[in-house]
Amino acid sequence: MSLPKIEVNADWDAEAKVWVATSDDVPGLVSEAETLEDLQKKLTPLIRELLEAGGVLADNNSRDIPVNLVAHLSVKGVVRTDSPSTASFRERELEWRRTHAETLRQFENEWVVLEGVDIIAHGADAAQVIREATSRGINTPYIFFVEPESDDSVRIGL
Amino acid sequence: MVAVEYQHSFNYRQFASGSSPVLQVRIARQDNHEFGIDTDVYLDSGAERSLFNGDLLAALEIDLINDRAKSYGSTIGSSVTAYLHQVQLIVPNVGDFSLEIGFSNAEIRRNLLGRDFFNLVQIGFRERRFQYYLSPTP
Repeated sequence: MSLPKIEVNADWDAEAKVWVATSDDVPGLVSEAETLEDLQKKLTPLIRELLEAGGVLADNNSRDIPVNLVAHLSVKGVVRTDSPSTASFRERELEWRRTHAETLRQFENEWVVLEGVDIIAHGADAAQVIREATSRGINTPYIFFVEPESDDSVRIGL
Repeated sequence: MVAVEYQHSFNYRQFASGSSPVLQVRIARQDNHEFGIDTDVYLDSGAERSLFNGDLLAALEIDLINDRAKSYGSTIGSSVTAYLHQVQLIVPNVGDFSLEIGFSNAEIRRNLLGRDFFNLVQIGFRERRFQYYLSPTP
């Protein structure tokens, strides 16, 4: 039996200059790329991963996933913004985190201080991690907690 | 119809555990901005007040415990104690905010910005698109 066609919307983010893909058919799907071609390349494995995670598609199912990518160049709506993306703060660190998720897995349940692309300190005690970073000359550390990969639990604020 | 204009738009942060509305902030001492720390905060419209991990105060060289203790209750009835500290919350490209934040010595893993912060800004969520919008005026 063939898979139903997945409808994916690609909206142009004029400020960030990227195409942003979302889909009602694939919960959790959000991806971006500078060109539609690049976006299309990223979508197939991502959709497969999300569908497998959601139990819609069996693991290792090699069937092609039909995707209908619809591009929207202009969007009208109630919400208007002057600068769609504010990502200039700790940009290097955020990019590193995005591209090194596997590396960060070894620090699950720990606090990490990251400066540029260097892990300065890590450990379960945030205060100790901060002290170690400041002792190494980091005046304003960037610290974050590495949460474990999804374990089927739902997180609330407190 | 109500039309709201926002100055800034943010994508939800994607983690292995899912996507969340996370804001990048710098917390600094009010009397000396040289002492600061950068961290992630989760935007929590269900929280009446902001709650942060007290260990972060180590970077600001501020003692956690003061005479302004406050109990933060959870939805299941348990609570944690936090100590209120007036700090500078710097949101790059958006603005600086003076905010009284509760810092706790409980093992807070997600720093939360609650409705006390929402009272200082205009904020909107678009969950379906994994985006939120922010303006620095309420």
